[in-house]
Amino acid sequence: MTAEQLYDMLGDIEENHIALAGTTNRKKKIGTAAWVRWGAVAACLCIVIVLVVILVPETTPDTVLPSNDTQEGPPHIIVEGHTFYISPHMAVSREIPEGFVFAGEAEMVGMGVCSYYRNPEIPEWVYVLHEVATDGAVDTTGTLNRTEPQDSYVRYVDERVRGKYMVSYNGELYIELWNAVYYGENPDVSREFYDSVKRAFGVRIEGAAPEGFVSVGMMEFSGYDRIPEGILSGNKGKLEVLVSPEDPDVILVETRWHTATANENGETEHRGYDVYVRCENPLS
Amino acid sequence: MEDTEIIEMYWARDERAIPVTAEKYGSYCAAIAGNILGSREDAEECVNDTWLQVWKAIPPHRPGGFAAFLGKITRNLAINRYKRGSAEKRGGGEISAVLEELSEMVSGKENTEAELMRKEFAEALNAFLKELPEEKRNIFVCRYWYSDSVTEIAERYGRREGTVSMILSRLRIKLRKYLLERGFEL
Repeated sequence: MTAEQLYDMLGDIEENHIALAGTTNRKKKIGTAAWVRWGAVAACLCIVIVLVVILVPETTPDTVLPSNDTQEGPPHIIVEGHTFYISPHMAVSREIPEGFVFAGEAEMVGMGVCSYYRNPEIPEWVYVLHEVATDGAVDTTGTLNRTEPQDSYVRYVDERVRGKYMVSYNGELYIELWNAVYYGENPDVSREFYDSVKRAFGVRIEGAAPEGFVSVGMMEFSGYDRIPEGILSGNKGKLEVLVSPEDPDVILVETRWHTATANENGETEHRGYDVYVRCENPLS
Repeated sequence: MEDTEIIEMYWARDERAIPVTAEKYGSYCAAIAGNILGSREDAEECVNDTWLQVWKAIPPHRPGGFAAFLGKITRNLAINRYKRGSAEKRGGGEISAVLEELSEMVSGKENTEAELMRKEFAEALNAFLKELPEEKRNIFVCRYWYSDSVTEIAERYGRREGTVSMILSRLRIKLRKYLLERGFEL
């Protein structure tokens, strides 16, 4: 064996040993400014990813779901003409969720024909039965316990809802400007409306709310991946909501975020408000 | 931001996941790539390649330990880049010294069956590491996985460089014996 071969094979050291040897206190050799360009590059990823498949040798560790190398983007299923993508909230259960019943079978890339389940009360979801494995978890002794793949019910969410944070206030639906789509076949808002709100407020406000906005209380959490309903509820969490009588098309929802750039001493917490704009029910 | 939240952003195909990852783990990955490649320019390119690989891998992957997951990808990409020779032209990194140390453990002849026994090798290696006292195991991982310099390891663990070199030397001998006893051809 050559030293290079041995070095290569030492790469298979378990993740818990790697983590315990420290992810901190490593010498910073590159500043964070180098990553700024990624904001723009990310927009082109669909194209670049295809090239990477060809140019860069496969280095990905164990996969979670059955192989689906030919698929771009998250696993998905098409039901009644609508595309449902796997939930970003890792909603997986061994038992069929309450209220869901068998509704048919569909072909999924890399996974063959899978059964799916629907609930008329929650049209934005389907559950699909297929094999799932995780990397496992590190227990108290530091041992990584891997799990064998098992058939599970996995939540898939209508693409018109998935990844979008929304609030229902007095029966009107509002969508986080950051998630709002103004293009394509199913836009949430018009381009003109999107631009006008963005010009006036931006997508997120740091610090105090603009003059005229007052708190109407904490919204109820409707659950992730759901379209919220009722007087005051949202699918992001239990958060404070501010409204302005002067501008009924816009509401603000409290938020916080963190930065830890090379110029900061550790992590800095920022507080402010996400801007939401009025929209139609995306499934209507 | 918590790792689980970042992973959720990847699953949601939210492009903000990349700058968020870069902010939190850019230095970590850059240190790994820099140790192997020794060139800021190469390390930066390698880390950028890492973000692409992560975007491609999640989903369907759901890493249990996000930092180690990123580190593994970075390390593999850096090794590939090193093998392509571009790094050597720019001077190489700590890897030259690491390889020299590892060369004491092996015959130096290409083992065409090495990949076939990779799984068994990994199991034996991890069993060996599990039996070590924590500090020694960490020192081994820092040197032969992260490719940290002996100086950096000595600083991190409050030891003299000579002590760290001695610990590593003994661990190499011990590991070699352990692997040979289990039938591995080195």
